Amino acid sequence: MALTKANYQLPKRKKSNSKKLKKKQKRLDLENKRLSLREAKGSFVVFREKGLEDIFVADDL
Amino acid sequence: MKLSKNFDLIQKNTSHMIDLWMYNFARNIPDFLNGNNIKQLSLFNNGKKSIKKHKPNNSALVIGAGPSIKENNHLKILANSDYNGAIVCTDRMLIPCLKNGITPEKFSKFYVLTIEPKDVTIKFYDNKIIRKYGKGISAVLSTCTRHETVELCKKNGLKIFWVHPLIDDFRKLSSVNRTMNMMSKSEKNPNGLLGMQTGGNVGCFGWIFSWAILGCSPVAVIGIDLGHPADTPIKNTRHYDEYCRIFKNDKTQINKYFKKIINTDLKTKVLSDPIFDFYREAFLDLVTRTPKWVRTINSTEGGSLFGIGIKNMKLEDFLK
Repeated sequence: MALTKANYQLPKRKKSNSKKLKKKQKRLDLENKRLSLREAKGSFVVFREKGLEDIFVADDL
Repeated sequence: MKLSKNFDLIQKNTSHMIDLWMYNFARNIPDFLNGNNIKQLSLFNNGKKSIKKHKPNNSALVIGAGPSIKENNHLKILANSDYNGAIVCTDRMLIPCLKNGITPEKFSKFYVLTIEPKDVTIKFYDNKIIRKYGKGISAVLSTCTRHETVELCKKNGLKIFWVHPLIDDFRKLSSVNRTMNMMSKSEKNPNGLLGMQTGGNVGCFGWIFSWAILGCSPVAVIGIDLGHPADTPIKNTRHYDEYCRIFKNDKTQINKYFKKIINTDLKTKVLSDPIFDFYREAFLDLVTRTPKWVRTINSTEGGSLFGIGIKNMKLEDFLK
């Protein structure tokens, strides 16, 4: 059997009514928003931004 | 790179580390301001040599920490060989390598790499045997490495070379990487430090370092399983704790993320999860983007890394 791109059907996370979790989620959303504002949401693992796909080494950042 | 279905999951959970990266970065500033740039190790330093037209005359062997290393007795096989290429050791494997006779005395081109920001790396450098061989070892450290790890490297006499892990689009003024580099400019390194793609894990970074900095080809990898033997209980797998955290210990949810795949090169089954699968996709994608002279050999003899541009070979055959 040939391997195809792993076809993970990521299950959706159940929404919780717990106050604590809601607070955490709110905090998480805020953090993500801040990261996004700083444009730091790029590829933390592998570049996929256009023009950067072939960058392995960057001199004089 | 094609959009991975696991990308968002990995991205979201990796981006949470930015606080830790910056925490470590701040504490390492005095060290890297006066430290060595990874550029000093580069064969392509100052643009004297073209990376596209390079003719390699050295090979490298990247040593990862996957379970196949033990199963295939790879450290002993390597220790007993006359291999004269570069040894590029992931941090987790430094102590096992030295203890098994893979030392800078026997293998003169000996490198160890760390890109992980968490404190787990402290124990990788905390052993008497490192002090014994430290002077012959070049340590390539991310500027976001845990500071205690850096202190241990210094204490053990390793020669440190610094690199920025590329984490965002440095062409933008607001880039974190760009700011990091501005802060790393010094008399010793007026342009700051090199930034490097890591592939998200130190094994892949070792492979990139081997050809993009050392100019080595072929680059063989061992212990880069990116998966577990198919019969491994899920709770014993590498990222299980991560998934427990993400899914708040909901084991039914966690189990849905694991799947068995077939390594068609070896005709073996591998247990994979989204993190390993993402790394695998990333590695395969990066392999297709290398200059033509780069040959990549997987001598892991297990795991999930196979595909276009990667030649499968037994370690003993590579070492011949």
